[in-house]
Amino acid sequence: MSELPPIPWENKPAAQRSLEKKRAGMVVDLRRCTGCHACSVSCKTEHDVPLGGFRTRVRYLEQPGQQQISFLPLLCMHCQDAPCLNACPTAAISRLEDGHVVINQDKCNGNKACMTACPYGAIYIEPQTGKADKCDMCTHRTSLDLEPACVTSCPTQAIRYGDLDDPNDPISIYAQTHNAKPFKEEAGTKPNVLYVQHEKWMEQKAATGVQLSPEDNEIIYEK
Amino acid sequence: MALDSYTPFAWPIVLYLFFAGISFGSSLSGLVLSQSKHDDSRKLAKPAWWIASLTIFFGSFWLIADLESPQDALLILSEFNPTSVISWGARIIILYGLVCFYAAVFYEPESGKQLNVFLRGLILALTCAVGIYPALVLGQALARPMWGSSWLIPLFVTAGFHSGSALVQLIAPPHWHRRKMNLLKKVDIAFIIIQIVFLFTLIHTSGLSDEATRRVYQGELALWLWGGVALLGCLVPFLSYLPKTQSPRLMIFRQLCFLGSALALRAVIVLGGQGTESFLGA
Repeated sequence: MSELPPIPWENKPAAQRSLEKKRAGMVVDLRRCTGCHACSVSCKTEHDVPLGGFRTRVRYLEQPGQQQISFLPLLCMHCQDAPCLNACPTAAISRLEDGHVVINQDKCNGNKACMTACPYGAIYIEPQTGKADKCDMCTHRTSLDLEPACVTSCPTQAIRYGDLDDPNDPISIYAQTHNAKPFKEEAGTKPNVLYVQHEKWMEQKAATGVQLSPEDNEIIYEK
Repeated sequence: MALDSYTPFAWPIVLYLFFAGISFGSSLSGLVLSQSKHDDSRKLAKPAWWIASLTIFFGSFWLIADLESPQDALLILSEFNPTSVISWGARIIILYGLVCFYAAVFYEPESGKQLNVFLRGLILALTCAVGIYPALVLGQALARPMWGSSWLIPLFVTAGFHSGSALVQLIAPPHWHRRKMNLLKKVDIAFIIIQIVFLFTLIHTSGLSDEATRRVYQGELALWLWGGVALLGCLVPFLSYLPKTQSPRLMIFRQLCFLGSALALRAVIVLGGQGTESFLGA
């Protein structure tokens, strides 16, 4: 008898989901990122993200005074003190046992409180359903002991996934060895996505979309 | 690029804040007027509460219109998140609207009877909650510097009271205006100065980026700031007080200017506060 394909995580009985308690997180090493967009493309493919929506974005940033482009993958930070979770009036956003912050589409009515609360611009409105959506760290894959799509597709292993609370986990060791830090730490949201070699000027530039040059007046925003 | 193409909270929210502010100001005016010794002042309390209840329900319509899934609007009432300001606010708004409606229906100024103490206290508490609620909702948006400022509460409270009382004054009879002219003039000028001070303190102390500040002063929002808030809300009313004879048309015109300015103020705060994601003074 042929095996049935894995069912989506939402429909899986709780007992079958490997959601052991941990602090799931990612480390993004900006020294390795080449701006190839494999992460954002694989994410769009994996989750059928509509045109104009992005769960993972890659910013091309030009450092002021330098002739060099840096690449910055941005995604949901799955914060330990998630402002989106606190702001949502319909309790549609919750944190799973493994630390993933997810949106329950059945409870969302598109009030956009989460969008305004998120300091990272991680949440977008699905145009077809009118519901908020964002990166869920591929919970349907991680519950089957697979890595998120962006991690699997990254050709330089710039993005890594693991348990940040486990001192023996490779990602934990990597984060400590390479001094990985949260993005916009002053936001106070305690993100579970850490960055290696990100600099302060990137935080200021990242908000302005794909800015090709500091002199450019036309700034391209994602919608 | 237009600001509101990148803004989660757009014009429906501006309209809600405008009507909620009027509702707050009208309800507070109703409470003050109901305590007056003069019959013609007490008679204004009833229409003030009618305005309060109707504008809050009309404003709430714009909240529902802003939802991306309006057919699921009732989820805000069927689900509850104790950490969400909107969760609490939705319930308070409904209770407030119903209480103002009750006061509008059952308050009889001619009888000389006051509303009972409990009801007056309830109206006052709910009115204050509705007055500060917009600032608390915007304050949950950590990434928007202007919205996280503590100056938003006093600004919304004074602007709301001023716009609500302006609408109540629009329906007041001319003889009431003549009797209250000196007091109204002082109150108007005081509120204008206070709102201007609060607004510009908000813009300059909330940690807005240079880009966001430029948008407010020179960019997409300049017309609302200079035309709406400065001209309609300050200069024109000041000039309207110069003539010694204050005709009813001049008084109506002045109140309409205040209402237009109130709308412009909320447009500046809502659209200007999220026009850029630059965070914490970057």
